Amino acid sequence: MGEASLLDGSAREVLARIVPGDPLDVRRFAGRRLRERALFLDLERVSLRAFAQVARDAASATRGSGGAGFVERSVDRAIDSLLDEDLDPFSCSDSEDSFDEPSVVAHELARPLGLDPRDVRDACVRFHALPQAVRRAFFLIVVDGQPVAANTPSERRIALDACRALRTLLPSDSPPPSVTS
Amino acid sequence: MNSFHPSDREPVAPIVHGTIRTANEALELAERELERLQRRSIASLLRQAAALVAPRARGAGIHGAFPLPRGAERPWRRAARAELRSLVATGPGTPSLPLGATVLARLLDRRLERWPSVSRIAQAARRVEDSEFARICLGTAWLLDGQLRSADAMFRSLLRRPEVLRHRWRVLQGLALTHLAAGRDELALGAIESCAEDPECGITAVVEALGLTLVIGDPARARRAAARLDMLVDPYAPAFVAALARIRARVQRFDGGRTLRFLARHPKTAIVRNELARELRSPAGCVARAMM
Repeated sequence: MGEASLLDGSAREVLARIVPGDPLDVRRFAGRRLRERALFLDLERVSLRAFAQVARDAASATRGSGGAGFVERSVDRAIDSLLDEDLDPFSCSDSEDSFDEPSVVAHELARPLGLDPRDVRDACVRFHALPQAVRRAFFLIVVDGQPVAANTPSERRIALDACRALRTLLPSDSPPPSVTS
Repeated sequence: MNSFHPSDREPVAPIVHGTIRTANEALELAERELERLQRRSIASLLRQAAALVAPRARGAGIHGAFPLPRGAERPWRRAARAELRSLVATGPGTPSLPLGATVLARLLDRRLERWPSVSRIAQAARRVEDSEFARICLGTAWLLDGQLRSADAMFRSLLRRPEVLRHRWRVLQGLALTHLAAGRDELALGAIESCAEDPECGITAVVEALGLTLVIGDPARARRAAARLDMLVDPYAPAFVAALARIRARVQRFDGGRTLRFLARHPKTAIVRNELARELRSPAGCVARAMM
């Protein structure tokens, strides 16, 4: 079945076609965008929201019948809406993998940092408010484990950005990370 | 069709990862996400509807402005119709129309002149989706409808929250304007000064801060507020012109005889006011003249 026929019909009909087997690769796009945007959001949570967003955009009269980048745009909208909800103190999700409970990401991140997963949840919200360049520096050095010598100004910038991101994730009483060139 | 890559796709499988075990479970959870998106959209449309009727509220043009700009009615009707169509087209298995869809349909059936008050629509929006912004909209709607106790309680409860508020300046501005409408000028000044210190605050807060120092009669605070206003605000900005118009309207009405009553009793303030009013081109001068 081609993309056009998958996206035809009401939002619920589209959802019933695109969730089983994930024929539109929504999950892969979601994973890629999370990485590109350097965000600590649960892939599962983002994928579910992205499926719903794709279905809704497909059924909307203004969608322009799918086309190039249609799924990517919907995935980005889904990520934006989740980031927006996480910032809101009154936002309560009724989904089981909601941000109300510490997510898989929070558990994964809490272990190496020696933190409570619930504290990591708030730390992630602070982390997401950082500029993308700062978040990406943290991903480069800490998540991917790339060595940065901090010899050139740009390398030093990356190292400083990663430190800034780390400070955001750590509780305020932790000793500050330092950069040595 | 760039987003469809059958060749490089992993083997077809239901999303079985994390806590989701089966494709059916994934579908059920995705359907709940869809309902959530629908609710968000309906709530947003209802808040836009509240913005459409806000100008006809009795406090509009005096006490402040709704946190959303007033859009045009026709595009709103188009968007609301499309939203309702998509809800009806959700097909079999839809348990019921989401909360708020009925309100949206009723608004669509009526002419704007026959819509309920701004606070009733804002209340419906908050019932559909509760959020910090929904509460700020409702608090402001109560203020505009003259329900000052409800507005005061809403803004105070927001400020008591332990979390960091995203729109703290809006809450402080709402509280200040509520105090002002109730004749509590000193409290209003305290709140609006806190608001004006927020780098994200709007022009209204900076303008009201100067207006209130002139009402209270505090020359030192008035000079500080005037300096801040002149530094930050373009006298030709539409938001400044609107804020100034609200101050003029309030001065003309004297707001039930309470707010602005003390204006003439403070000779010191009169000196500062006259001093500022001489600056014909400065925003602070405009505010000072509006207060005369």
